[in-house]
Amino acid sequence: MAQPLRALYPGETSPPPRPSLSPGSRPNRLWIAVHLPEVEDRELVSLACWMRRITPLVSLEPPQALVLEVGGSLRLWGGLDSIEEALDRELGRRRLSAHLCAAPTALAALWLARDGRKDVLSTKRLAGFLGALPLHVTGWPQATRRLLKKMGLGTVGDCLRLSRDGLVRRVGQRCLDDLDRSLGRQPDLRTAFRPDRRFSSVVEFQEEVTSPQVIAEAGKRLILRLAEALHGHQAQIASCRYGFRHLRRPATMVRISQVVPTHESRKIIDLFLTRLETLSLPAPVTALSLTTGKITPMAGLNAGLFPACPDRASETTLGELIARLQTRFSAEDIHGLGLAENHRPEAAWSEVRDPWAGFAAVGRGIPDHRGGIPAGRRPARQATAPGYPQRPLWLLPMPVSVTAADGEWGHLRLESGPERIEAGWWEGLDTSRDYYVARGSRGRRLWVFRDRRSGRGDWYLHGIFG
Amino acid sequence: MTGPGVSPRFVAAARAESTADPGGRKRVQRPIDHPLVWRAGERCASWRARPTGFEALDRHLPGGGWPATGLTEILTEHYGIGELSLLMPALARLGRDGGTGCIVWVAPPFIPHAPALHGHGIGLDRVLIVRGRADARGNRDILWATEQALRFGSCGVVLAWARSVGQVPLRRLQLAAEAGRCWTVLFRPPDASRQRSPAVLRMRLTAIGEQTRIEILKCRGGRSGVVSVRLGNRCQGDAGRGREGSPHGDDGRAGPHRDDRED
Repeated sequence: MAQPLRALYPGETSPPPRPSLSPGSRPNRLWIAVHLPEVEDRELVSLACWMRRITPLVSLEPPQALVLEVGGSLRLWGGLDSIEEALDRELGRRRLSAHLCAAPTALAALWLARDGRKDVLSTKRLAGFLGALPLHVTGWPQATRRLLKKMGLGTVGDCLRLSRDGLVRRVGQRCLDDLDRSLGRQPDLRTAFRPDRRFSSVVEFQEEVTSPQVIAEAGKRLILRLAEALHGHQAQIASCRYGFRHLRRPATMVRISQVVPTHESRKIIDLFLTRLETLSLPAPVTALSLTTGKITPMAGLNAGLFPACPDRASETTLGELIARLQTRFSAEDIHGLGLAENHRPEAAWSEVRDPWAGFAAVGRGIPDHRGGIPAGRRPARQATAPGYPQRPLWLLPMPVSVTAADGEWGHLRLESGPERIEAGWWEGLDTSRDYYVARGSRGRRLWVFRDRRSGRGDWYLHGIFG
Repeated sequence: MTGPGVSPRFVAAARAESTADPGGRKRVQRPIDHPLVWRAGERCASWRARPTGFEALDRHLPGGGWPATGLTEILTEHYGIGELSLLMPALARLGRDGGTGCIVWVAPPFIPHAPALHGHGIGLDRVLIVRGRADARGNRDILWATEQALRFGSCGVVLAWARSVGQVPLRRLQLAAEAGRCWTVLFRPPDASRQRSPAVLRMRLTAIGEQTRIEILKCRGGRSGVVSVRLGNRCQGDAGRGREGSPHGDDGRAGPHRDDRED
């Protein structure tokens, strides 16, 4: 059943159907389209980044345009005029020629801008203004437009006058949808432009630089830029990579990990300067670059209701300390301690790679009335069970042979033992040892074992009662 | 013996109440009641101390324990004479008293054995270990790391093992420890005793038979002297030793509070 478009939508006064899920569907929506006849893709993306300070909903219309929803920003910016003024100023600064047009729907704004028309703020008069536009503003395929032209349709208005069925049959559903969207009859769901959050920036020096002060200043400048970008994204970083570029040799790359992700320029600069103190560069520097590692959304801090409650501050500072230490020590050199359920002494402990996480868990534990850590946090392990044999506080990385009685450890006098440890055969590490506490020269208490697996029953030192 | 939370004023007052000092002289009953006044015949009350867990040592140290902040030097030639056991009660108490400070080990000579630390009641989630290197640059880095940990202020204790420490770095460490309100224990070889030191407390350890002889070389606000304690045969909670028992049969009685003092 063929029906004219206008008959289907009789009252322009009735509010358009309200789609869900789209921020652009607010009742007072207003779109600005910016049509840039000659613009590169990169410039367009950079412009979109900048426009995100006006509204979160910026949508690219490649190749030459972008639309932004400003209905929600009108009050903040003090009206459409001041937004357009700000846009004009930025476009002027970038030396871009563009045409701006505002309309109640995104497509209408875009089409009007492509034809260089004026703003249309009234939904009622939208159909009239759109009707006068030539068909090329729609961006429909060339074949479609040629077909329509053969049918004697030269403007958008001509299409609107066709019956809906007929239009779909001849040129497809897409054109009808576009027309509906441009008039606000159908929701126009757009994905907001999300800029690439990786950050990369370079400071190039006029000449080859050796002075650490100059490099430090350049680094600070880069980090301030980074902090601004992070603020724009409401994001934080866990690590940065600095590239010190040299003439005629590969750049020196330095990665600095923050351990606790941060967005604060102060902390990033602090670590950079600490690392710079000990950094030895093979040649003068021609440029300094900064690339971020993984970017994560900024984690908000919950303020405590009671100021006395343990907060996250201690966790943060410990993470900062570890990050600082990592500028001179490798990450493997810094670790925490953990227990492992194993009878072999060398396997009864483990290195904990993220000690600050465990520390944070303790820090967040709510103290009981005596201010202690809740008992549930303390692991109940066999090592505290009564009657469990004594363990030395120092463990040697590898057992040392003490067969020679006149060696460094002197004549050993056994004080207690043996404690037999037989384990590990299921892991291919078959051990069978008799451990004794021995007194060595100069009163040292040592933990020695006799290896029952070796035929001769060799003696080894494995620990020291420090 | 006073806890760390007791104010110096209270300590001074409490000491004034006590009847006689070990020398047997009758004390002045009412000293000038001001924390900044220190009487030469009296222990310094300006230390906020952490009890060592060894009565003989507590008695000797002003304030009745390890200094809560500042540099403590322990000079020892060998490892294995109780240099760590001496600290264990204080370290364990640090966690129990609800402090959030962690225990940072900078360049320990061997691996701190986690089951033994746990057995002494030390929360392993508070332990942070920084492995050091033995070369000259490593030594510099060790001192640097110690200072960083001290300045951060969120560490409860920093234990550091350094081969050689110059006069200036030592002073820096002492200042950093005071600024970060942190207790630092620096383990050094015994020939360091020839060097002047700004440390609050300085002691040399030697083992004599079953006992550890603590020679207090310097003690700010206190006296030097010698204390002997019996260490090492005791785990937290008197867990006891091997099933076989020791040839000396002194396991049960080897608690640190049975020490005598030979001052």
